[in-house]
Amino acid sequence: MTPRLSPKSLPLTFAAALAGFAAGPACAEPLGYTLEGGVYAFGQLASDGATDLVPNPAARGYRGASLGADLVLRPKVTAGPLRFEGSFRLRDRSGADVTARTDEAFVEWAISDTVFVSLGRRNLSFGQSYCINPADLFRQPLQETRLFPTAVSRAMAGGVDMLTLDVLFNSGSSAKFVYAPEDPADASTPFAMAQFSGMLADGALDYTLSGFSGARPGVSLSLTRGIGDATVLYADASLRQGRDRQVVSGLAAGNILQFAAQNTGRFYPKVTVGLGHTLTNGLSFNLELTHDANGLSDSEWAQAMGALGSLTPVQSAAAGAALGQLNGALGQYTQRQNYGFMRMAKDSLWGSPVSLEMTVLHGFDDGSGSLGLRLERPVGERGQIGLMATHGYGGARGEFTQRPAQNTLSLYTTMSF
Amino acid sequence: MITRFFKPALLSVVLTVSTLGAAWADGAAMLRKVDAIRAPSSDFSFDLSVKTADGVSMTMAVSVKDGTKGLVQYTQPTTVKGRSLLFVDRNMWVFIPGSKRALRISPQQQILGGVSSADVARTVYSNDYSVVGSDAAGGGKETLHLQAKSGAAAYSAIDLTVDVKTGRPLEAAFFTSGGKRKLKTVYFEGYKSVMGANRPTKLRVVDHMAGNAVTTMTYSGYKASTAPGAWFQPNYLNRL
Repeated sequence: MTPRLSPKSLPLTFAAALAGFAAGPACAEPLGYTLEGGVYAFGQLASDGATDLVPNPAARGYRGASLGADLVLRPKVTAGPLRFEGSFRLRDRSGADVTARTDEAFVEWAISDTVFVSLGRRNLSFGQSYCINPADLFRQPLQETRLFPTAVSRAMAGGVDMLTLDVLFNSGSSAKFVYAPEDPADASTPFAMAQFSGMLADGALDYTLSGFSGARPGVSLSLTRGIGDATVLYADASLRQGRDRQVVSGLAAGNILQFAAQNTGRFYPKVTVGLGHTLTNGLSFNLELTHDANGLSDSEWAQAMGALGSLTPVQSAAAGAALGQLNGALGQYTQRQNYGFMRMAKDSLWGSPVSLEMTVLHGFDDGSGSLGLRLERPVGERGQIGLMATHGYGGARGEFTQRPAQNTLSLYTTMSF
Repeated sequence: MITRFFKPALLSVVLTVSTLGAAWADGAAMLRKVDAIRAPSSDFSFDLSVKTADGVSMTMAVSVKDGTKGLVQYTQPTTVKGRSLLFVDRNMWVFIPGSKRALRISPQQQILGGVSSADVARTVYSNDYSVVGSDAAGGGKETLHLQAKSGAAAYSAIDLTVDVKTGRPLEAAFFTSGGKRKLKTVYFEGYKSVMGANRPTKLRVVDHMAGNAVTTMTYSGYKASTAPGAWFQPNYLNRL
């Protein structure tokens, strides 16, 4: 889902920003201004072999070799109780036009030390899980350039136009209220959320409970618990009404895919439980298990793959259209219900400044998965250079083997200023 | 006969225990003195520079509340600027601007070189450790043997060498796994007059797990802090 420059709300933001900065309290305070940013560039080699789902990768935009770069400018202006933050992105990709996007642009007003109101486009994230995070309600994984580290790629998803109110309490708890005129999952529906975060046992356990309306209303809960000096246990869960998956029910004559009616009345749980541990030598690892009832079951996946096998003749225009339709229907970061994820990372390999990250995302439903290996080192005080390799494994009809680019090798650099 | 044998034995046991008790009480008092030197008050702030032997450095601004809560704002280098760290008692969270949320981390997670989050965040020992013994170290020094009060402390045990006359910490050896394995040794150096007392402004950290690599922590800009208590929570980190 591409973040939109909503005609409804953004003018409001900038009007509020201008009015706020021109208003009385701000004039009495010195103006603070910083401009930070970064350049994120990559070159990628990818296997572009045909699969059943994508018989002609080049026609669908897959490239064996590609280059890309993002330039991001992040101005921040403070004036008394007002703060403006922006994040503006210019993106260039091989074979595509240069695009400009506003990731964030909001004004926050500190009504007091503990009450904050903001208006504008914000990129908010919740939860602790690294890979599949049910509590990260605004996340749009397909918007991320995933060859970059998580700390960079999450910001690439862009923000949502919203009005927020935060109230912080001395006990360490806080309340947050969010209203977005357009739910990122369905622009025709507004999104509203009330959230409460708190701590128990002197901070050894913290929790965040949210209730929200919108295209898929429901509740979410995040828990983290510190165990000893090196272990963190965590869980992120949501219970949401309706599905964001289109379920193929069959293939009619003329290669026309049929989809089952979305069961919008039912609530679907999505849960990730995880463990993070750091060894005394600095090696840290995370293990996560996910169940997503909203994902495709064995029978639903078999229906989709069965339809794929029935498309005849494969090269016909109708078959191509059906494949495109199926591609769109499967346009999710993960398709199925049960996953395991493991991440190992070490900041300094054998005393060198090189850091290492290894990841495995394994689908328990069909035995396919994806391996990732990243090596990264600093370049001067401002830059990083990294090498990222991924490999998809599994059977011919596995989730992670149905798309091209099963194997990739990327060289990237990030430069901050 | 039995009475004649047991009375002196009992007396010697009682004397030994009470002497040890007195020594531990003295040790606890000495540890409080060490803590008072390291932490000027319950609410204060300072700047910290962490530098490895090969010249990689990081600077941060630290604000401490009630002696047990802290906010750490990374200020240099540019690649980590904007990151922040929260500690509440022995619990820690990190906010990385690109990840857009605060994540709980363990105190063992490293910041740079041999310096862990706990080394930056925990400026007092008596909250996390108890004195279980002490030895004279010669030259007017004494080594306090500290043991973690719970498994949540960053280290299992610490041998803290103190100047008996001034109460200044001089050297601390940190152990894990029941005190069997020495992880690092910290030397307290650069004593200067700061907020009414002589305090160490330089900690030299020798990481025994990484070939005795040396990382230096330099403290400056101490001042009293007035940050509201409500800011010391994960949901404030994105505003630093």
